[in-house]
Amino acid sequence: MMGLSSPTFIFGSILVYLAITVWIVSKYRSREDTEEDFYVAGRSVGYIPNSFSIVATVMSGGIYLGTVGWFYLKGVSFLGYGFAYAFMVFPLWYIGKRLWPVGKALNYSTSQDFYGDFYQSDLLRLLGAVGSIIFLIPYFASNAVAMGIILERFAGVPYVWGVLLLLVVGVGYSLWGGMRGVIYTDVFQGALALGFGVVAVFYLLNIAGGFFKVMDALPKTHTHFSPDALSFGLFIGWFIFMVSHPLTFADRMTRIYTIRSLDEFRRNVVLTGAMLLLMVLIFTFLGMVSYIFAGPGQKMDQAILITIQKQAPWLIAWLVVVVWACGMSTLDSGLVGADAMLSKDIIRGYIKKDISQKQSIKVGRWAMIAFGLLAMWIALARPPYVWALVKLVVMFNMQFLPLLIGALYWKRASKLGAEIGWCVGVLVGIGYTWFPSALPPMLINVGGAPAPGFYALVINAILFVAISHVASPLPAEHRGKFEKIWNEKSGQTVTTP
Amino acid sequence: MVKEGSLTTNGWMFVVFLVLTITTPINPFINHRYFNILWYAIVALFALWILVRVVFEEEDA
Repeated sequence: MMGLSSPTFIFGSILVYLAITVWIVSKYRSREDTEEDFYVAGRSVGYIPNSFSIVATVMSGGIYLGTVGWFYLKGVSFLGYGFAYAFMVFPLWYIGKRLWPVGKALNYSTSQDFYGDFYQSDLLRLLGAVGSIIFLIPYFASNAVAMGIILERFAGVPYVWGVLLLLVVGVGYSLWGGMRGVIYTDVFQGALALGFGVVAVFYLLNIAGGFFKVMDALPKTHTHFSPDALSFGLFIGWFIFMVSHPLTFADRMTRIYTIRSLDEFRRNVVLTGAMLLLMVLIFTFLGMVSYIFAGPGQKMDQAILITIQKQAPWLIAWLVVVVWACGMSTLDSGLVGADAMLSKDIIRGYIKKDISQKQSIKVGRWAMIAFGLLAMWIALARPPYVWALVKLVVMFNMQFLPLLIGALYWKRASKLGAEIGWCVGVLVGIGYTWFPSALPPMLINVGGAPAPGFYALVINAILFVAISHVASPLPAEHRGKFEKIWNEKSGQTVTTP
Repeated sequence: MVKEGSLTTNGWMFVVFLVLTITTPINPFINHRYFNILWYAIVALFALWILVRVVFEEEDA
């Protein structure tokens, strides 16, 4: 048993995992030098790989430590997170069924393609793309930090080498394989992560004496919901937070474009919902059993590590690989997404309008290297503000939600309302994340990390609706272009409330 | 879930799902040591069932 938790075995497992990942990319990579193939996998992905890809991308590097840690700390009170995913698949369907046909008809590869084109807004296209890239880079760095730390701790590999290994391999296969390669590595990475969770839950529950014994041993704070305002805020805050950002996050939203057909998307949405349900149950149970085995008072992101080390050391190599797989699945999607935004939304949009597709992909590949180097620099320097920047990623992407839903389902949605709502939302979110003491208290405070983003989203949505009611709507002819596509796809008249 | 301005059966079931979700932290009937995790699984499966009906059966889906 000791051999399976030795640093050599753990490092060897990481190398095997990386070798398999690179082999998958070599088999499934994008082979055509077209933007459609490189950025959205030729819109040809089936529902099973697309579902794995969504779930693997949602599972970022810290999820097995951080989210399990939240359940360790808060017990069932953190289930707002889980209910959010049960809800999120509904907007995923309603957004996707309209975004997919326009993406296919108008050759969209990025979220900014749609926002910029629909609202005829340079501000949303350019600032949206620049902001997304700026906020994604520290997000990549945060993944690299987590990977570097865990490899140093369990495999004895110096932190610097762990960071370098992640970024060199991650950037390397992303620029080689494009979105198609990334999606098929996500299948492997997602299967590894969910497989680990199922095995760990059954094993740990079994040695803890079963479900009822675990529940009996836990304090009431972990097994019961408390109806006080703080707990309700935690529940609702995380519910809104988790609902809103997977739908608008630049890397995740791209999966709406990559699916082969609307029929495949139906299956995709259902399978994604089922996999997210399984994921949440895994995290809930692992958090609960970690409380039993690690005891109270541990740092939240250490609880599962301590538990596995103490009770199931034969699983530690798998856990380290899973943390890496989750980090890489988020990093690779983000890299291709950021690359697409730079080359399509910024360079073709504003710098070199006549750039060919081949040149655009080439520029994008160089951009991925530059993003990787920047992330590496941040990860190695580890500045104290990097975690605040990571919080901003989610807050920033959430602010696209009102204008996205408005574009797809509200005839009065206006350019002015979208631009002002979005800008004010982003500024309010940045302000309350970075300078909360310099600002008046939030009128709605759901508490914790989701609070600034949620408050900014409420202000953004109110402004968007109020301004759109008085501002000129988009030209009927322009909006008609989109409605025509929706009509053709659904075969009937589109009625927008 | 909405047809000609009115909620369909699926729409009403979705409202029920939302009410069950939002009231979960303050629902005294489900707040039991063994039941809360199970409650989450039941509500999430209910949502999944509604989702299947919506994406495969609704006319405008």
